[in-house]
Amino acid sequence: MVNYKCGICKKTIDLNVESIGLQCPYCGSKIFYKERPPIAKRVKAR
Amino acid sequence: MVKIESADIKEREARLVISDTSPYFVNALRRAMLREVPKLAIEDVIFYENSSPLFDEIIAHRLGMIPLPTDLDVLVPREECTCNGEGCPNCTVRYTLSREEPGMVYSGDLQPENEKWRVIDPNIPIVELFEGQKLILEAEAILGKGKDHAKWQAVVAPGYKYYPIIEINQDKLDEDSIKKAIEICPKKILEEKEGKLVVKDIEKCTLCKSCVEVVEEGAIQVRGDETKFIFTYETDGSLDAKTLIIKAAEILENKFKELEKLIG
Amino acid sequence: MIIPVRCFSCGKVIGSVYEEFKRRCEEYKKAIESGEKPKETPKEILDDLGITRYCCRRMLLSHVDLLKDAAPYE
Repeated sequence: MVNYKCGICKKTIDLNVESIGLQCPYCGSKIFYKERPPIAKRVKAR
Repeated sequence: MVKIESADIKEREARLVISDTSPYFVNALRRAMLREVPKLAIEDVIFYENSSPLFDEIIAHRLGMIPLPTDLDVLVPREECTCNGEGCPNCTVRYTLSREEPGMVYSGDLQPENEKWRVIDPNIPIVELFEGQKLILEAEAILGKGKDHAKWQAVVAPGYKYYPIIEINQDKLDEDSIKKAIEICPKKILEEKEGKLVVKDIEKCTLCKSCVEVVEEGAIQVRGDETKFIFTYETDGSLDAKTLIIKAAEILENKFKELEKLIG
Repeated sequence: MIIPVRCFSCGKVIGSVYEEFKRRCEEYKKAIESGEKPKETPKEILDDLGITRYCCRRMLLSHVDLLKDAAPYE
């Protein structure tokens, strides 16, 4: 499950289908960032 | 036979005067230095955490450009290694980097497995971290060639020019035209000595012919010697200037030997 | 954004001298503002740092540091 982070208060939020719309329960912001998954990422240095 | 008339080889830059040769030979040498001399550079970067303002790919690219000390006697290219491209200590050099506190992350923060491989220039900024940002990564460096990617190019700005020949006919010059010629030379290599125009430092001449234009026709002649060259190059520090040119010459030699063998 | 590691045209490493260049240019600016004679001009700083070609010089001279503006967006 991918978590999202509030764009204003930077708290991690569980977004589920029941929550009405996409809104941060702490500050009411509607901007979210997708959090980086905790796996190593391999990138070519080119 | 090719002759080296003077060689001024420092650690990171060199200037050679090569005579009795042709542009084709000097250019072959230049291209061998650019494309064929192997060098160590970071190829794979494994990111564990990166919350810095730059993307993973940008950081990886910046890491790739950092010059690393290269010991061609110890390392083998990964394709020729006995490990079949898996990455063993014979063909791969590993670095780790981990920073959590704010501030600039420098190339010197890359921790090699062995101190022998420590980055030559520790002051190259990689990324700046701000409050709460983290950067944890692992990097694998392998040998490569300039023809595959510029990060594996050890030589910087290699170039050659014809050795200048300046012929001065003193009879056609007067005080005024001597002054004019000295004035217009962009490299200031002309000077007056006992009423005559003389050349101070001929190697600095760029063959621009500005002096030819301001004096009477035929008074000064500037041309390049097509058999003599001034060859200059620098290195990024991964190989020193001397090993670089010797390696390039060796590679050229092997290529010609191979051609000979193929023709039979 | 951030100073490139190498010169775009010739490939010389220029990232390592950027911070020193910036520091010494600041000194130059301060001297000019206070009406004193500066110890060295940006031209002399670049020559002293060994940045001789104009391709490398423009890398340092024309660079604008914008990384701080991108900092809030990880």
